[in-house]
Amino acid sequence: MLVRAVLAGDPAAFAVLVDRHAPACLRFASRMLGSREDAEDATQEAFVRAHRALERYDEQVRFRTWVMSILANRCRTTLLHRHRRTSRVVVDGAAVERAASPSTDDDDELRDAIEHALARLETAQREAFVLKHVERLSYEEMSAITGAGISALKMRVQRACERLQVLLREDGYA
Amino acid sequence: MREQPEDDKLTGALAQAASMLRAEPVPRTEWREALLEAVASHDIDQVRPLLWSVRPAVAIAACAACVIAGAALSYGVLLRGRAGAPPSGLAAESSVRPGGAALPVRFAVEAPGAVHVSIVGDFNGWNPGGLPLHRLPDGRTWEVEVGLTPGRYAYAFVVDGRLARDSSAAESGDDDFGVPNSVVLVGGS
Amino acid sequence: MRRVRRTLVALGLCLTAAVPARLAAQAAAEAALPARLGAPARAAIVAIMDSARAAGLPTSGLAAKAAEGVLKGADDSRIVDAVRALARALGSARDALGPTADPSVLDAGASALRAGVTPATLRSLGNAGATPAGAPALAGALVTLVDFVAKGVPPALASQSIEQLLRLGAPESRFVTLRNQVEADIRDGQSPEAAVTTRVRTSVQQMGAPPGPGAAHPPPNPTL
Repeated sequence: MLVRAVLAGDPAAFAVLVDRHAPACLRFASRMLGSREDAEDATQEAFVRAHRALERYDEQVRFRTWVMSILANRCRTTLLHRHRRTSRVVVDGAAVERAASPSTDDDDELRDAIEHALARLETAQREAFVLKHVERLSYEEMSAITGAGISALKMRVQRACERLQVLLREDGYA
Repeated sequence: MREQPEDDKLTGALAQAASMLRAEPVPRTEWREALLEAVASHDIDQVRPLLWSVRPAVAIAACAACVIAGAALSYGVLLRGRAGAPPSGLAAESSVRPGGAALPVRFAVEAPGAVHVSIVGDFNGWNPGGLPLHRLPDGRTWEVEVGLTPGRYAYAFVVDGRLARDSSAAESGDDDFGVPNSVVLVGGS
Repeated sequence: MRRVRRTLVALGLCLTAAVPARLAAQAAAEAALPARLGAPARAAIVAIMDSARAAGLPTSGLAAKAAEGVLKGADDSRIVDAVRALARALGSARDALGPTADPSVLDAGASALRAGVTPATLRSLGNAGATPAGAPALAGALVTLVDFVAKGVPPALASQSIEQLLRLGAPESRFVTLRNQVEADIRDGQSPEAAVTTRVRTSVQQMGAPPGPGAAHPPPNPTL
């Protein structure tokens, strides 16, 4: 098993773990933090911490679940220490004007809209939504990662979806 | 990859948006190498087994916390010690905020056609020239990071000379001029 | 007597060293008053700021208020009125909170008064805040109070809740957490009043105190 190989001193084994799990971790962190740069920092920190704590890793838990729980904590700490808003400008109380540059296609606009909407969710709901509908984890795994109970997580996912739908509707998406 | 076991499927635009969010980013080579190097350098340090280890980031944070706590405590003591003295100009320097370390607060705005965007608020004396935002490579987003101690601040954006509120922020109630401000609470998620 | 004099001299020396810096800072603040202010308005505002400074009140907020008014295109008389109102609120805050109140506490106190908190309530909060947690906790408490009132929590409930936590010695971080929790609860659909009531009750319990002024306490064991 890879973790055992790492603990035995195999230098290449950890690289394999990184290659296998970093893309999903980067994705999760990007959705939580809204910035590729912050996501890279948080993910790097999580993998370094995971490496240092490898002796305490319990093989009963999936490695990805374990590293993502470290990452989820890093993201929560990062968010706690910064405030983030991305908004559209409202000038003189007039309605929002969206960028209408010809090169922007519909996909880009929807991506912008969902990213803005995600940023406006409160952290716990955003985390639950991303773990459920982006990472596509089971509620059991989500519970292991976040430390929250399953019914609380279901409630957060439901509220997140409701709120996201409202926000997307405001942007003209049904 | 597991199947969605529950029946909480998404519909409509949200479903489409979620599938877009599922695109897995490709780790940059430099990032990967930096990570593996950080891990390898820790291996070298691990020669002797430690009963406990303090990670540098934790140690720095702990020191910073002690310094801040110490500064706050000593400032509080200083104030109490002046109880008998007449009010002095020193006490009136309101830029000092004891007990709070400045937190980085990022303000970002989409203003695709703008030439100049800045932020004004309680934290910079409502000076339109003081805190310009920088345009990001996407050409539409402008951002700036401001260090703010925990508290509640009224603010607005100035876009090409016109005052604009942050549509995703809470609004202040009555201001003194009939134009509500945006409000940010610093110190939280 | 000699010791007192020595202490006063020492204090005076410290203040003297600081005075040039202070004067320079204040001069800079006044110079920073927007150019668009007419001369009479500028003179009036400088006079207000001078009085405030002489009274030991923080003045940077006054200059900022003038700048805000200019940016919003308000006419000069309205700007002067706003600056005067803020100066008065700062003075009232200092009356309620005491002469040694920290500038950040005074700013927060002035905001609280302008949000509708009464001077008597502010005085009570100031007394409640005289704990080891100190000025940061009191400033944090007042900021939280202003936030709650702005969110529609009845001022009396908001003040009582904040005061309860202050008396228990809640540190600033407790108030920060409380604001975030209440904000999240309101976003989740709770009424501001319910959110504050619930979260404060939990906070009080976490701080190891009985749940609230109305809670029944079991009578002492009569056999002891």
